[in-house]
Amino acid sequence: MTAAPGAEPSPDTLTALFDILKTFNKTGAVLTPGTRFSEDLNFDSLVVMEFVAVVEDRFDISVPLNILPDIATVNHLALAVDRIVAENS
Amino acid sequence: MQPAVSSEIPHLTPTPSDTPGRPKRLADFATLTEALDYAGGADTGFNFYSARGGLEKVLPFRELAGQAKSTALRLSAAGLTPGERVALLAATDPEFLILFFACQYAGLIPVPMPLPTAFGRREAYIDQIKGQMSSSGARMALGPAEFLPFVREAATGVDLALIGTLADVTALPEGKGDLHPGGPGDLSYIQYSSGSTRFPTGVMVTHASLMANCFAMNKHGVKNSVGDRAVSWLPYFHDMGLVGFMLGGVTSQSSIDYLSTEDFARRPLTWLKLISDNKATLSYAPSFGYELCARRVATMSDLGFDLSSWRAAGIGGEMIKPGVMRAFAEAFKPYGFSDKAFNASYGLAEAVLAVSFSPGGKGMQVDTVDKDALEDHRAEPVAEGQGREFVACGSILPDHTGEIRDEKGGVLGARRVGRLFIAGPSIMQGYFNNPDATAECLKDGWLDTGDLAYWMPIDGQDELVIVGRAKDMMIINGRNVWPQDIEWTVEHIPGLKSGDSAAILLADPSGVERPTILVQCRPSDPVERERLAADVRARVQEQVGIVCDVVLVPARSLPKTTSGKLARGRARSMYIAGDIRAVGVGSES
Repeated sequence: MTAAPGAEPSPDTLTALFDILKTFNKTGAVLTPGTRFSEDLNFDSLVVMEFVAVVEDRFDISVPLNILPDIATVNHLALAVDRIVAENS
Repeated sequence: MQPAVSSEIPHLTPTPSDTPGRPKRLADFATLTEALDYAGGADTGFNFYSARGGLEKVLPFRELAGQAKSTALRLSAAGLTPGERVALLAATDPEFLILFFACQYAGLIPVPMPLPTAFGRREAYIDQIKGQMSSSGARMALGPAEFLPFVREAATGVDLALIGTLADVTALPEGKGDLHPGGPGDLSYIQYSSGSTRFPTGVMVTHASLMANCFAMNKHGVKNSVGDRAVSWLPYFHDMGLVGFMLGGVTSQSSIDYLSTEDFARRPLTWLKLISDNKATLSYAPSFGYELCARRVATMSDLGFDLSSWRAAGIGGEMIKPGVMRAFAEAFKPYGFSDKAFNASYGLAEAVLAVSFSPGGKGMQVDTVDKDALEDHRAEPVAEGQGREFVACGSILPDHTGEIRDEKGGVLGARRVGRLFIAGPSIMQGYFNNPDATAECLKDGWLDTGDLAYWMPIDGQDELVIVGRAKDMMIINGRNVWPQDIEWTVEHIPGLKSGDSAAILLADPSGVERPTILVQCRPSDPVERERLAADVRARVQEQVGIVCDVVLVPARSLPKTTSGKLARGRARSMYIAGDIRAVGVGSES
C-alpha cells in the first residue's frame, strides 16, 4: 500500500466504505469514489463522527480530527484509511 | 464492551473526589488565580480518558497551578504584557488548561478557539478561526501541533509573535519577571461561542463576573458539596464546557473526568461509562447528547452500568426536547438512572454561563400550552398531548434579576410571552472591540438575551420557560448558527444577489425546528429551478455545515425594512401565513 498523494486507494477499502455508507446514505445518492460527504450525503458534524466511529471499528484504526477538513470525498477518505492502516502495520 | 486498548496506562489513578480535612469553598474568591491557588492545595483535579474510557492523563490542581505559573513567566518574558490576547485552540487536553491558566497568572486574556469537526470544510474553518484571531487582536496562537497548520493558514494578516505548542512556550526562557494576575475588574477571558463567523462577537468576562456566576451555579444551581464529582465531554470553546464544567470545577475544587468532545461523538456511551466507573454525581449536556446515547444503546446488550450516583443530569445549551429526555430516562432506567435527576437550566455566554437552575431532585417540569394562544404571546396550559411542550428551567439565580417584557418594554406577568432581560453581577462587560453590537444588547444594566420566554408559577416560585429566539440566532445540534452566515453563503451563488434569501427556523408537525432558506428565484424552467435549489443546499452544507430545507419563492417577494435590509422575522411570519408561496419546484430534504 502506498500513501503517495494522487495514488489510487485499495479497492477493498473502497468496497468496505461503500458498505458502511449504505446505512448512512439517507439522500439515496449514488455511491462512487467521487461522492462528497457534505454535499451529496448531507452529513452534518454529528453524523460525521458517528460514521467515523464505524470506519474506525471496521479498520481498527483511529482517524485523527485534523485530517477531516481535507476529506471531501469517499476517495479522499479511502486514501487516508489506507495511509493510517499502513502506518500502524 | 471492547477490551482495553494498549495505550492505557494501568498505574494511573484518577484524582479523588475530595480532600479530607480541607474545607470545600464554593467560588467565594476575588479572582480566578486566587481560586486556583486554593484548589492547588487540594488533592482533586482533572482526569482525561480515552474513547473507550481508559484513564490516559491526570492533572491535579496542584500540578496545574505549578505548571501554569512557570508558563506564565515564560509568556511574560517573551514580551507579552497584561491585557494582551492569546488565542488557544481548545482541545480537551491538559495543555489547553495549563495555557489558559498561564494566561491568568500573566494577566493575559485567553481566547478559546474551536477545533474542526466536519468533513471537507477547510475554508469555513479557516475563516472562523481567522475571524476570532483578528477580532480579538491575538498576539499569540497556541495549540496542539497537529492543528497548527490551520492556524498558520488563518494567521495571514494577523500580527502574531508566536504560533506554537505548549512545548514551544516551555522551551522559552523563564526570565526574571513576576506574575501579573489580574484583579476582579480585569478581563479573565474572551469567548466567541455565540458570534457569527462573518461578524464575530467576543464576550468579555471579568474575574468578578466569572466568580459571581461560578458562586451562584455551585451554591444555588448544582448545590455542590462534599462527595460531588463531575464528568464532562463539552468542549472548552463553548460556555457550557469552559465554565460549566471546567471553571466551575476549579472554583469548587471538584474533580472532573473528561472525555473529549470528538470521542463522545464517536462513542457517546463512554460518557455514561465514566459516570458509572467514577461514581460521578454531576454531568451536563444539551438534549442532543442524551439523544445520541438513547439511540446508541438500542443496539447494545447489557452495558453493566450503574448510573445511580448521578444526582444532577443537567440539560441546557439549546431548546430542551422533552420527548428525547423521556426516551433517555426509559432506556437507562435499567442501569439505575432516575428521571428525577434531570435538571433543566438556562444560560448564555453573555451572562458567563448560568442564568437559572431547576431546584434539583425533582426531574423535568413539563408545561403543555395551547399552540394558537402561543402565537398571541400567551402560554395557556392545556391537557397533556393537546399542545406544545416546554420544559421549565428553574428560577433566576440569587443576586440576579429577570424581566420578561413586551415589544414596547412593558414588564409582563406570569404566562405572558415576551423578551427576556436579565441583570446582575454575571453580566458581561460587552463584546470586545464592538461597541455597536454591545449597545444593541446591553442597555441600562440589562442584558437583552434575545430569547422569548414566560414565567410559569411552580410551588409559589416563578420558573423560567424558554420558547424560542427573538433574535435571529439558530441553535442546531448544539451549534450556534447565524442566518446572516447562511444568507451570505447563498447570495454568493452565481445568479443570486444580496437580499435574495432569508434563513429561518420552521417547526415541523412534531415541534422540531428545522433550518429553512427562502430563496428568491428568477428562472421559470423547472430543471433550472431544481438545480438552483440543489446548489443552495449543497453550498450551505459545505460552507455552514448544516442540512437545511430550501424553498424557492417568487422574485421580489421577501420583505425589506425601511432601510432596505431583509426583514427576516416578517419573511418568516408571511411564509407561515401563506402570504409568500413557494414556486413550482422547491426541495425538501
